[in-house]
Amino acid sequence: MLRGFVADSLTAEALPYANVLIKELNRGATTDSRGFFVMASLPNRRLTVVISYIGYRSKQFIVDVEPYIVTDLRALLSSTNIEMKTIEATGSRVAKENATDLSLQRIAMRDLENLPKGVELDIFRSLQTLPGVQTGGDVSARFYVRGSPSNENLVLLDNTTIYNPYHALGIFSAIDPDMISSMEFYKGGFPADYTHRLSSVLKVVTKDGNKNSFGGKAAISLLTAKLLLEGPIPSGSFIISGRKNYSDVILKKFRNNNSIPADFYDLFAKVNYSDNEFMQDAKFAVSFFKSGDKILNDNPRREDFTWDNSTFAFNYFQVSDSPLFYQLDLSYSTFNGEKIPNFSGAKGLKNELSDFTMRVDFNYVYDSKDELAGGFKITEVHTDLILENFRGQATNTSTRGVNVSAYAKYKILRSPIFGADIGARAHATRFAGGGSSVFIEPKTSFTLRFIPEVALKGSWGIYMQDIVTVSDENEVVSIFEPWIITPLYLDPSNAIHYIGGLEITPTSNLSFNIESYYKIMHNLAIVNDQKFFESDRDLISGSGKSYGIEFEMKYMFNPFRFSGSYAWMRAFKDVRGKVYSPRYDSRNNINLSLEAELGGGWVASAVWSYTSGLPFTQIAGYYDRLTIDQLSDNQFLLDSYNPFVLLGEINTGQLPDYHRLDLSLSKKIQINRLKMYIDLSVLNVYNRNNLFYFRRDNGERVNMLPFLPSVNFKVEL
Amino acid sequence: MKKLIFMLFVTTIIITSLACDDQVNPKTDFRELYALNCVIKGDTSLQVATISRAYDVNGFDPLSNTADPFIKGAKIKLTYHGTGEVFFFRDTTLIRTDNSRYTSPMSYYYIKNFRPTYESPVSIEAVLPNGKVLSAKSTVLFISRFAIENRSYTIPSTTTGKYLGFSWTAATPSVKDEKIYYVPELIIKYAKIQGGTPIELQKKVPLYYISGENGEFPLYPSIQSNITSVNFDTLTIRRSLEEISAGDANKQNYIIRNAVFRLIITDKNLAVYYAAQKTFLDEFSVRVTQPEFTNINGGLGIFGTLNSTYINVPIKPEYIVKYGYKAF
Repeated sequence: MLRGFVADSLTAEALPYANVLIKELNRGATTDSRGFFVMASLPNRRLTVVISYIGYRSKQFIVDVEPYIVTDLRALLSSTNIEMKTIEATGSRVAKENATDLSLQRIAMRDLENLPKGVELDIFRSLQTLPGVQTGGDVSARFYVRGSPSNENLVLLDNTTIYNPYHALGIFSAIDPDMISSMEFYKGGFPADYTHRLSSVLKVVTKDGNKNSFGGKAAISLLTAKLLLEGPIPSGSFIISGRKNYSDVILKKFRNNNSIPADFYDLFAKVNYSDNEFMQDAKFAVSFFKSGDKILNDNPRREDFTWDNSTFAFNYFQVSDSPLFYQLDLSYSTFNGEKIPNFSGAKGLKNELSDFTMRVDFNYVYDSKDELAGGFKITEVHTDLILENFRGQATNTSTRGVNVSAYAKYKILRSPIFGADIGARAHATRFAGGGSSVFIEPKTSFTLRFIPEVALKGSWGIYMQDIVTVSDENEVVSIFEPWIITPLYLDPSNAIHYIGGLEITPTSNLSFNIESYYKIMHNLAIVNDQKFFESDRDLISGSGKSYGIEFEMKYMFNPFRFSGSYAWMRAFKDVRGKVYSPRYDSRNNINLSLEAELGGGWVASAVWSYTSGLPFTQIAGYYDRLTIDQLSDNQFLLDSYNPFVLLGEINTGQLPDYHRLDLSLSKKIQINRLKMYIDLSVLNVYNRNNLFYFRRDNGERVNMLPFLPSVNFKVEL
Repeated sequence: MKKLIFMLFVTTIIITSLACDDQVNPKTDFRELYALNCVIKGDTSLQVATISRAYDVNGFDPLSNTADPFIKGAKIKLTYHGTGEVFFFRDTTLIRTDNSRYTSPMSYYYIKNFRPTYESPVSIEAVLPNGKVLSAKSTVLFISRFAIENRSYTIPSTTTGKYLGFSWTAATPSVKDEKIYYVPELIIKYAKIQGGTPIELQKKVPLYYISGENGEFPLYPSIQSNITSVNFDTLTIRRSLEEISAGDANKQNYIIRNAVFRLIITDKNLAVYYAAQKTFLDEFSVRVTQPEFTNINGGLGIFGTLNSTYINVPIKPEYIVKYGYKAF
């Protein structure tokens, strides 16, 4: 058995998704998000291992594989400055031969750094260029995946759930990209390892910090200033990063030049420890993340807002002498959000959530190359919600509950042309105190590679979600979405995914990917817009379905890298017997991106995005509405009427198409160890008036971002 | 070079055309709807109802509509289930004081012989000239004037100098699922002498004043179902008295009569309608629909009930004189 760890030679930072190829056998593997790989059932002889990674020089290693002995390989790759010209995809096709990775996008941060950053490089906005991922517009980083609302996306930071990872009205992500090593994003059909959401999983893996020398980064944009420090400690490393906004000049552009008195920060710290004398072949990390936002008006007639996320995580990873590795994660995550109405007339809102989770996962590799994985997860969640809806009706809930689940899955990988992942997770759930229910989530996916250039893929699974947000789809901008455990009067939401795909890779630098999906959702928790009285329920049950097809093409030709995608989809919701398209049902999406390494540290890129118009509810007329100013006024029935808008059928209108071109030019300057990055971006180059919404009272257009130049500057030591 | 200039020209044309707005109509087909409004009051035998129709305008300014939407000729029937009595509204018109939108007299309906005398369900049905039917149900509620704590109230307060407090006994409606909502009010009644003739006026006293960026603003009691007392700050009462003659040096032109504490109660339909029209989301959230509540089957509007009780609150003459006003 061969196992190994692939890392950067300078920092010893793990390199996720690096390609590992055994030359003599033409057999490959890919490192996981920890930079770790295992290859079992190898012949007992001397073998040549080639390890390659984009932006790094490939390296060749000679290893002797002996019976009953685990051969360890620690591969350190050297970064190259001229990145695109040294791309070597050696082994990547071999590694992917039978991988069951339908709907999975693995994203190393290096892949994102060359794209137009806009105001800030933002991980959620970068997802929105993927086919099947829809945005609510320039003014929100929230994302909608394959016709599902944003609260059905699971965001994990080092295996810890983050419940509201947004800054400043949801315009930016709260996760600073500089602290990220890699991301895995499942648009659907995710395996049994993941649970608690219906639609997608975004797994963010943070950096460990430089294990060899102390270093730091300082960066400034038109919105924030940030600092990152990293360095070695005995048998480990640390990383600390912090970011704080200092101006609302840019934020105004997101809100029709209206001021947003927003103040936000985020902070991340992580310590890693790995000492073979203390714990052989083990590594553990302790990390802390905190993000905080405030919108404070210096005026009692206006409402104030505060919200914050905090996480504390302990991750322990152990490799044993047999082809077995396992991981223990303990995490504590909180979210607190409050709208303080003061004397504004707005309605108050307070949401508190705490989540304590323990999960254990193991993975065993058989000699046949098949793998067995399993684990269990215990989650205790407590939610408090106090709110008044816009009709003045109050909700006050406090719920605590425990979810216990266990999963097992078997990966058939023995055949080079066929791979399958068959698994299931069983839940004893119903967070709400007093209630309980059992739910099974069976999941399976397969890959069949007819010929080396073509693979047919499929996936099916049932998914469950028992914690939901009380968020109203009619709000095109909402400050934060309050979370509650699914109330006892509703069954947990569930969804069935059917996904099929075709992967075609005619050459090593050209690939096509086609995926089609059909998703059925039951027991969706929908905000009750007919809650007129306190006794009326906050949530009602609805159902939905979505289907679509996605095409993606990637082509690399030095010094360019091109990717293009087209997605067609339909989404429907059925609430109280009324079927309608949700606000994020976008029929056609096109994303084109082109990057060019121009040499001398210059990188240029362009991204063009197109989305067909989103549904909206049209005006169907007006009526003079009785407006009671004072109940003691004897005459109000005769003289107190004001015009009021009558709305047509929900979301039967269509906004104009959205499209936008962004350009970016970056320059990297290196003087010894000092690296400087200057990035100039222009958003909406041709100043397209993309419509955000119509004001009901006067029909006024409210547009999204105008032509917006921006500059980022980063210094790295 | 010519080729490059041509390509730049073409690119500029394409980019400029891409930047144009697309035309989209925020409106759909007109929706014909009718609104019935009727609030049954327990302190009068004159009950009023109105019916109006929806309309459309060119553009997005509904104020540009000048065609009177209030309709006549409907048959409105009110049933008071407590006694089984049925009342039929008569239609009439009222000369408008504000002719800025509609110049024709306003059509409305009335009955003048129905003053509910005890708690009971009540229902209304309107048959429009085109045969359309609007209907609704509600509950007439009562609260005894003796529900207000029976003690001597005066301004200034004799019990505490800091505030003037009122309390009352909460009532539980006998009608199932009904609830009483309260709106307390403190009103100063006064007269202003103009041309030798006293003109009777009143001033509503806020709970207190709040400092804002555009100066201070008053805060009045809101509608609530679970309150049984209210306190008016003495400083606020004093300020209200001062505001009666603000900017007028001749204080002797003002005669302060007395104050009245009024407790208004409503049924839950009227309470929700009243609260919904006074709420908004917040400054930053954007909602593409608007709060709307109706309990009218087949249309829009409100059918609710309202009742009130009050006690007089004398203002001590020596206190009035301090402001330069005349007493009584």
